[in-house]
Amino acid sequence: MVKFADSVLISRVDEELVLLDKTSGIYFGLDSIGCRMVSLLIEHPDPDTAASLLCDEFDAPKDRISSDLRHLMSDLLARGLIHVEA
Amino acid sequence: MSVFYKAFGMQIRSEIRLLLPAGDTTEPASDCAPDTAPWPVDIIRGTIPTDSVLPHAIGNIRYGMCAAGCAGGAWIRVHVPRVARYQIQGVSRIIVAPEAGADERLIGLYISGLILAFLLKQLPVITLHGSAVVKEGNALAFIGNQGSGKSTTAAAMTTAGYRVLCDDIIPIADGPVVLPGVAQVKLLPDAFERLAGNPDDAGHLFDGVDKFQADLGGTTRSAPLRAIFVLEPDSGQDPAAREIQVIRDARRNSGLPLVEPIMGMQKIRTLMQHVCGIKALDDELKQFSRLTRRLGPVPVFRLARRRQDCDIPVVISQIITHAMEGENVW
Repeated sequence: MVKFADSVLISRVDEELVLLDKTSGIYFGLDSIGCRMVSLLIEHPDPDTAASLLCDEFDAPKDRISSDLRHLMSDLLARGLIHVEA
Repeated sequence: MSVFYKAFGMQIRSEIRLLLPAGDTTEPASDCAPDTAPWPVDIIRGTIPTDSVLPHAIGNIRYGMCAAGCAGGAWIRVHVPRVARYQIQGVSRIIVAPEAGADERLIGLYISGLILAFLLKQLPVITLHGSAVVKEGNALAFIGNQGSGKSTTAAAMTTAGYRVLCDDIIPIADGPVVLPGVAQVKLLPDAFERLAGNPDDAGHLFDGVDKFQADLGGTTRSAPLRAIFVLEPDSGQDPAAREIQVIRDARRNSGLPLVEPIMGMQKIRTLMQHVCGIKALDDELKQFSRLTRRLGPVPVFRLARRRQDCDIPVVISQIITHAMEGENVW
């Protein structure tokens, strides 16, 4: 299950999800698509299910969406903004 | 003898003369902050123990605090060398112990800005560094780094019928509503000459800083915040702004200042940079949540202007145009 790290403060501003990492003091912004991707990853632990739902919403090839999802997840994980719980 | 003042959403009774708008106890609460009564604050002369350690510093000013549970309740003590010791007791009382031979105006000046900023930290008010003006019940705020022209822009807006709401500290309550603060702007001599007359007549040089106090017509009425302008010199040196260099150049050639909206994460990051921060008193979590909730919906614009040009009327016109665009959002 994907969760935001405890050190991350979150707020929605101007269609963006604004994240502040309290530990580093660095701000991050997710646009509306990135925000939807993260929401689905949180709701659906299986990235494949999240990708299928995004395919329906954005009318894009599943391969591309899965690849974008993987990139976003690994990026957020690398920055310590999310963690995956078993 | 006590004097009454009304500023920062507070009804202040002070034994020391302050640089704040005068108030009286009979004025309706709606003039101070909507839906809330003005916060009563008493400022009295007294003695303050000198034995406590003040571990924090802002320049040569030392401060420290004791949370609830201390003898006499929670307090914050501030020591301004050669001026006074101040003790903020809870959220309604300030004790002032002037140092021998201290200038009374400086004692009041520090209360009007720094000491009340300490007090505001304990109230549900966001404080930004900058100036704000109001016209027809709509407030505009100007923030930016030191020397970016916040006070000068606020002063210039008075030529377009705006009134000064506050200078230096912008207190923002729920709404978001800008509360009146120090309504006199501090201007450099050249700006004073252009906008307020002869600086020699101002008669008030601020604490070693080469600025003069200009009373250009303030107000004590709070007003809804319609837009925030982040002022920056149009140096073209900011690496983060390279991608808009072409637009900057086009605007520069046309003689117009660059005005562009700041959205989302950039907006919050910029606003957080201009919050009046007091180390050890700031609660980052509370600050972030309050700021995003309260100021997230407010339109914010970056305004870059040419420093060398006397383009004040153009700047004013650009500000008003964009502020009206912002109003359409509401």
